[in-house]
Amino acid sequence: MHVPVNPEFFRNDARSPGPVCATAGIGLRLQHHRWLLEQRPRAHWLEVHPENYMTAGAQSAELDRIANHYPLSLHAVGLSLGSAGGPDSAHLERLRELVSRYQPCLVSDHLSWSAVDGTYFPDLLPLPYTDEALGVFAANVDRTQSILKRQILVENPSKYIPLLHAMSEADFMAEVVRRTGCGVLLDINNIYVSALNFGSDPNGQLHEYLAKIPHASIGEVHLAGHATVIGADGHQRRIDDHGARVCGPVWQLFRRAIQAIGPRPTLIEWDTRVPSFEVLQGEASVAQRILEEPVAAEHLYAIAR
Amino acid sequence: MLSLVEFQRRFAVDCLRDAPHEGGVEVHRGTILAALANALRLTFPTVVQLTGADFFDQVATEYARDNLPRSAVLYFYGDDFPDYLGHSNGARNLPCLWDVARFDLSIDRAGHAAAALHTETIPIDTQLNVRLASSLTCLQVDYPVDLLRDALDAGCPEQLSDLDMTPRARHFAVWRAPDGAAVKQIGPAAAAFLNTLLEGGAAAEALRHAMEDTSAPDALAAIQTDILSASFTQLTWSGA
Repeated sequence: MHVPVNPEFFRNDARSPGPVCATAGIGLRLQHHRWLLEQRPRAHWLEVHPENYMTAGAQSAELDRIANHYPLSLHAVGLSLGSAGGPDSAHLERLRELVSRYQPCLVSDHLSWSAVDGTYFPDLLPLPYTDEALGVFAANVDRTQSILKRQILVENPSKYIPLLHAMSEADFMAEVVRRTGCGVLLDINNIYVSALNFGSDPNGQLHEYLAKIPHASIGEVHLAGHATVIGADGHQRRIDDHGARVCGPVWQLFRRAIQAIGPRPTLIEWDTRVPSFEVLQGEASVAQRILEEPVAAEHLYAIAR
Repeated sequence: MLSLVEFQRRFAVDCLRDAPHEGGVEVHRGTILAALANALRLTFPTVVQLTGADFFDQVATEYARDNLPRSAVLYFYGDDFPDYLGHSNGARNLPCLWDVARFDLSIDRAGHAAAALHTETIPIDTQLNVRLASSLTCLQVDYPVDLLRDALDAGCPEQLSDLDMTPRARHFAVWRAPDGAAVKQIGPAAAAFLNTLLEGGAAAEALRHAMEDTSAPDALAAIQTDILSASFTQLTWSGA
């Protein structure tokens, strides 16, 4: 049985730690700061990359003011949870300070690595899903949650390179969740991009994720656009560049996921060729309409918790 | 089978090798180099305008390949890019390039520094003490980098041809003001005084350095105008 969802379930408060309601949020970029502070447009919540606010520059003062009006989520890209050497302590401390200052609704990073031997690579690099990597990743998540004193979400990555894996990504992620109690940030565009890059069916990949990951652990969903490029090798690839509107098939995957797990906080990501805030609001409103579609009765209980 | 750390070390080396790559590796290589070049573009805006985007991106990418960051906070990246630029082919055609890059870097770093912090109290005499903005730096250049930057920021590159580009020493104090980075040109005597204080020297030593090439009255006047009256300086009085 499907029932309509009470709109009261879709309200968030600024500077309020803890679960955020299942609404559509917007990825905030630096070029929107001034306009946002002047216009105070409608947005259920905002997500930022904390690495952009780890100095005392003007953008940090602006975020302080923004955080008084909008709930914030911190989506890190620099923890390098998959690094054999573990997250950098100084970076973890900087993140801890931001978490303490902003009391974000959600904190997340990725199933990937970015640093080795003290050198940082500004990208989300692929992890081989092996027993050793599982042990390392789980230990790094444990350490991060211990220092931040809260649960973090781990996002599934976009993939471009075939590696030798001992287990599927869904199995790896499920085991990380089991060992650490972390949550999952389900990136629908990454499932779509990765599936197409390796000739798989996106629906099949989503189905495997939803079959193996505890639904209660999925704390957030990401939606974004991607690019289609022809590489030097002549092969067509999908690149998760967050530089376009969400495409039709990704919207369909999203709807399928929400119907399976119930409404979740859902973020519109747009990082390159960033449009006006109104365009992002438009994308968010599409996501919000899907979130408000009638859901199975068992999900209504989960929303009302 | 490689251990995880061996896999990551090998991937890091392979990814940035200047050689044909398998398509997926090329995606990551492109992302890494583009992100670093973009970080440099944001830190050195005047250099980008002066050299043109194509030249800048080429030099920035070459630099990035050999100078990877040590932090995920890319605002900290590129401290030695001015020196790299100064030795590049572009510097032969634009002698002011090194100065412009150092000026851009000073302003960028000041912009990311904390506004409210000050150094420890520095006694000037028996009664007067100063505290300097902790973000304060003093830069010596040979070219009118402030006028260059202003002209390019205003979208008036034609003004560059009117500038006196004769190399001679110019000094700038750069610091974080409440609404962003601030710049003030100061005289050589004031610069000598300020540099000594910033290096931890006492006021008497700083005054000696200030008077090396000018008279005492002129040096004192310059210090009063350029340092003690500046908004990067807090004056306090002993016993007040």
